[in-house]
Amino acid sequence: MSAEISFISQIAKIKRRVVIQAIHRILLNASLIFFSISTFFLILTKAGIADHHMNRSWYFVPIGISLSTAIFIGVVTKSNLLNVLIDIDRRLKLQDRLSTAYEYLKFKKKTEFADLLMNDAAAKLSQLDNRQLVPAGFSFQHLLVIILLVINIFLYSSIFFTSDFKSTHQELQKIENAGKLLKNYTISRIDNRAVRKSKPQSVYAAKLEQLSNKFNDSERSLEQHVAALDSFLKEVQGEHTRLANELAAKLDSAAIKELPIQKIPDPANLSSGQLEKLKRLLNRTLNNRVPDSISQNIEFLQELDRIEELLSRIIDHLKDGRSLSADSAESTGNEWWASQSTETLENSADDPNRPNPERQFSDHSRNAAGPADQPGFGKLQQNYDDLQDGRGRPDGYSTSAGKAQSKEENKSSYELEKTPGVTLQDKMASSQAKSYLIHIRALTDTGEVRLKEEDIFQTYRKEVESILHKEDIPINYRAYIKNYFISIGINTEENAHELK
Amino acid sequence: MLMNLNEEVESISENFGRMVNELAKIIVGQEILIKHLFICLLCGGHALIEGVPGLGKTLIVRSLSKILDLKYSRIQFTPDLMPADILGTNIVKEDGRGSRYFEFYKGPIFGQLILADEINRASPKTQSALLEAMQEGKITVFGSQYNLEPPFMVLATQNPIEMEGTYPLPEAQIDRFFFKLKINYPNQDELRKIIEKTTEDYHYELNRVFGADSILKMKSLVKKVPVASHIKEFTTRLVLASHPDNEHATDRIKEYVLFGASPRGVQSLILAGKVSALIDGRYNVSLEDIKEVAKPALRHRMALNIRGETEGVDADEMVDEILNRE
Repeated sequence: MSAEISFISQIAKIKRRVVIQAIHRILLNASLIFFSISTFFLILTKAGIADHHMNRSWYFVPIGISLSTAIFIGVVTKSNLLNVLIDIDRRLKLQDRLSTAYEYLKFKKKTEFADLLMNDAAAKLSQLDNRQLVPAGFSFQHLLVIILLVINIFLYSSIFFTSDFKSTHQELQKIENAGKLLKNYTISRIDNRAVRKSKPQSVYAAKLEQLSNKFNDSERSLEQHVAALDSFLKEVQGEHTRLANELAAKLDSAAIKELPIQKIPDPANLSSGQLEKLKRLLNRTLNNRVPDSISQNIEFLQELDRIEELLSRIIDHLKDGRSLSADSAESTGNEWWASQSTETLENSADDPNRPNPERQFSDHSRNAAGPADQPGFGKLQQNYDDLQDGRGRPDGYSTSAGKAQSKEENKSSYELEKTPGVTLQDKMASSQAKSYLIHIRALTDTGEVRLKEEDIFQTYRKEVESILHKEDIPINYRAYIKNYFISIGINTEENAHELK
Repeated sequence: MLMNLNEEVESISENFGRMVNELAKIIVGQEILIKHLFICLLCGGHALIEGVPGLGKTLIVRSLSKILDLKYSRIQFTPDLMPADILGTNIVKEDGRGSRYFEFYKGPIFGQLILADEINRASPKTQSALLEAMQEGKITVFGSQYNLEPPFMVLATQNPIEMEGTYPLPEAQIDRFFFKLKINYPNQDELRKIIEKTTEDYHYELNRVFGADSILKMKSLVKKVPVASHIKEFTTRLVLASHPDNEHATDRIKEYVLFGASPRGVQSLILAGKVSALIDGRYNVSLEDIKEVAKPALRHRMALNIRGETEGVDADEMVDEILNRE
């Protein structure tokens, strides 16, 4: 019995050692898997395929995968104690003493030699050190882990020390500003009771709020924010187009045909302000009985337009470092919700090359306010003029230019290139807004217009009248002024030119 | 009890050592052969010794019988040897009153250590006379059974070169030999010692080392030696691998072996392994024990096919092939 106890105590030491070895092996395998994944990811990052600015919580994924895989491997390849003892027997040339003794002990096999066997095995074990029994050698796996660790350190440090790894102070400032803008926009939108009362918070506004929350995450880089904004902007633009098409379809419905305008402009090209004017125009025309669906559609388009504008400006700010005042978003958010007069945006005022539809509308409205004071057709026509051009138009442009029907209009651009015909240049005098000077290629053949003369006359009449209304000289004074010039010797326009 | 068993185990290795030392007086080298003979003796088996003439086969057997104090018989097998010449026969005798009766005249088989010299020279009929004696330890003559005195051991010799006028042993008979032992040709140093012991004035006297009782006592201990299951598995795989149609067989086995070892091969390996362990003073069989006795236990149990025979493949190579694979 003493032989058995002695042998059991010796075996217990080996068992402990085996457990430690198993844990060691699991950790080693886990390290191997983790570093392999990490190396792979860092290589992808280095190649520009993956993004190294991911959240640090991402590392819990490979750690979890590594540990679970290593534990699984450890459980599957778990060696039982008998096999361990057989291995010790062979390695230390113990001639199967341990394995035989353990087998007879474990399975309670009866033999007269049992005590002698265990005594002999225990004696052999007592002569051996634990390290000899279950050695913790330096294996190929250890070497592999070290190699992978070195590769990881090298790759990580090479990425870490690149200029784009950490956001600079300037970038952080930009991100902070952009975040504030987004937050202000969302707050101003929520604060506006009218908005809450009039329509539910759109999905995109909610997404915008989420985006503004992401700007508080200091782990995210400038590029990540820009990418997120870009993605969201594309999404908003897509929705904008869809809603614009939907609105256009609705406007083409029978009820809208009674409008005293020739053609409803494409809502996709209308700015927020223009949409507001369209809404007013519709209200006036339909005696405030605009269908709710159209009204909501316009409002939603307006909101999308504002979001688009806000996002574009933030992206420009983040990318190019264009100045961005902190109250811009608030003003963007408030100006329409609160029906405030449009204020010229700071960056728009600074940039003369950038078209500013709001300013054009404002100027135009101011210009038209004097002579076209009288309500009715003239006012409607003026609104229509504003709407015809997607982003507004300088004075002096004809609204019907290029609108004549053509037999070639269904042809593709490739076919048009080959269309015979004289290319004509627009000889109209350039207006002050030279940026809108364009060349028109006439595609129509003269004499083939099939419109009724009355229709054409009516159209031109409307246009002439609208031009007359735009003139700064009131109609009642024109004859008087003309007589004045005749009295001072200028009989005809030709003479006037000669005199000049 | 524990001490007694321990002493018995120790006595085996001691007896073996004494036997080797005693034989060393007249036998030069051949330690492995002597060890295998001792193993064979303790396992109750019989050995077929193969070697060219003049290597001391007969001398070893005769010397062994002397130091073990066993009844020694030598049967010189010739083509005209009859079974009765081995087993014995009834002869007619006449008593004092003039009445005649049969009396069984015991043949040379009634010994304890039988030297069947050049066994392949006798006819199969005579060779088969040994079968029952070797397997059962008893013989039947004219309907009467006679028990042979234990320990009974047959040591047959055969010449591997001179095959003319011989009757190769049938497989069934060969399988009954526990071991097939080979006597290797002595090296230069051993030859020098042989010269010194046989051509000079060298005197020796072989003493009794232990007797039949000790042998039987040691034999009783052999089967008690524990064998671990993985050793048994190894042994069975080893034997199965000697069969060309088995999954464990190597390509060379499939190519050159006609059939593999019988179950007697497994028995021989395990029993021989046990004795080998006891000789080593151990209480368990190790893989080394099995590997050590693999060649003498398997080489005569693996029959080479015609291709193996014609290409001169040695059965020992086949055993090595199996051992290396395992």
